[in-house]
Amino acid sequence: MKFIQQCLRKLGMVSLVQPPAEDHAPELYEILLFRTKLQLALPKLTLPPWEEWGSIGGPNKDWRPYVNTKGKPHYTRVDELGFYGMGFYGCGWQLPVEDGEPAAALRLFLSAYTPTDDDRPKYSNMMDETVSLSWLQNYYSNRLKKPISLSRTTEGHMEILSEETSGGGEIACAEESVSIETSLVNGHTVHHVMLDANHAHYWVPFSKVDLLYLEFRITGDGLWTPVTSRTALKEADRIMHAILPTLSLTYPENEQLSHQKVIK
Amino acid sequence: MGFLSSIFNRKPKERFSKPDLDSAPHVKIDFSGIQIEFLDAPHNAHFPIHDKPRDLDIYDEYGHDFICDENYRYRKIYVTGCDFVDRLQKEHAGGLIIESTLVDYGSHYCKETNTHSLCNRLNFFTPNDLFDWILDDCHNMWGKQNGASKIGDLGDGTYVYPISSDELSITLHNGCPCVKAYIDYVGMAPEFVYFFPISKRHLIVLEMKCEAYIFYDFYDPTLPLEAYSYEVMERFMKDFKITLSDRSKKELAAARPSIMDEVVE
Repeated sequence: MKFIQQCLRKLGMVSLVQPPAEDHAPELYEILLFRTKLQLALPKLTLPPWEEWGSIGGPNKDWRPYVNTKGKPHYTRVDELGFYGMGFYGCGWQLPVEDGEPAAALRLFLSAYTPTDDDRPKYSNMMDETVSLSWLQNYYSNRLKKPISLSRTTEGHMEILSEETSGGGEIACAEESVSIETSLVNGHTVHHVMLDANHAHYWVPFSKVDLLYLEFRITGDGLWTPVTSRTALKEADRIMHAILPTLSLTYPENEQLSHQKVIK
Repeated sequence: MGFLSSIFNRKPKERFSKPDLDSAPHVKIDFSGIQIEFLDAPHNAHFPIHDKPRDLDIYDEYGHDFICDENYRYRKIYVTGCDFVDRLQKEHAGGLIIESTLVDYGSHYCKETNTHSLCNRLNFFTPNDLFDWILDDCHNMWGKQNGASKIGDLGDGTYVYPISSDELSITLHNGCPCVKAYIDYVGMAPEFVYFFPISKRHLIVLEMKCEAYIFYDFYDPTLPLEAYSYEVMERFMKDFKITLSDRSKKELAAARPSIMDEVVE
């Protein structure tokens, strides 16, 4: 086939030769959050897999095609912030910068969060917008009281890094509360928190007790250096706004269908 | 030629083994004229079996091997564990535990005289008594683990089980009335329980416990644990049959109201 294509090119019959496929087509990311299918179209990744990123943290492995968000056997409890959670994917893109500016990257982490057992009665239905908003206000209030960051232990669990141990990796915020914007994306409620110019968070409730967390971090050279490059920030914004509208959650028609068939 | 073709045409082995119930021996036991027939599912789980099926006089007040509670006595009549072995990892991935218990509610134990005496407080052939007992059993089995204070309360735990008679219904399984209950364990392997009243004071409780061992997830769509469990369960239940004795049939016919009036398709 290659030989024929080369001949056609030499004969000037270029229009008969298919142009090489663009390698920038978005990649479909798909995972089952128990029975709920999450889909996202991700622009072609230009950073190596997050396992090679070093101390920035993230999930212990790529959990595709399935993570048990109902039984939550791999969740880690973080009492200080009032949640159980686990990361299940990470990826990233190199960002363009002007000459002389340090390198920058946009990193995306996907996690699933749920309130702790003690908080469940208070936040009984996360699908209710006011309930999930209230939980988020509480979460950020706790988070901003004490600057902390999450990282990965050698066992693969998430852990809180204190100011002393994190090497300055914590998100330090002067504000004590955050502004949360809520919108509908493909019929799903999405809460958006812009923590600072380098950190954008999107929260999507997908069951009465579960929240999907999309955490975008813009990182500089050395992972924790703040990025101020306007070119990098603009491109990061473009990528985030390209991903968000592709968010899709497909709920099972009847979660108990298989067992009902058996018990019939 | 046939030998060679059988070698070359042999299908590759599936990653997970599953018990072959089609070639399992058919067992028939007699409980005072009540016939119970089922397949003796092959046991390959790691736990030992102590309860082999055998004939019993279920009206013998002094029968051995019963565990006596304040209000009733019970004994396991059949336990088997069908495990699915991961041939790739060479380990047991999950399985199905089939456990059957005979409950006798007609015998009252007196500590002072160390004897049993008959009591006729319950009639399992009446819907109220049957449902009340099942709800009480569900509360004792899962409600207390959930921290539920009384029947009708789900508690705070992860089990979801029947808490009201509205959730229970009577169906016929191979001609014998029974009540089926589904016990959900929030994202973990579930349990299925079949309650068969076999006399006005005796019940057979047949429990099917799905198992997923460490590093395996029952609901993982890349693993066959859920599908295999339901397949084995359905095959076992297809041949599970109870035929009531003449004495039990008379008790059933005399029951007012009768569970037969509540049978749903």
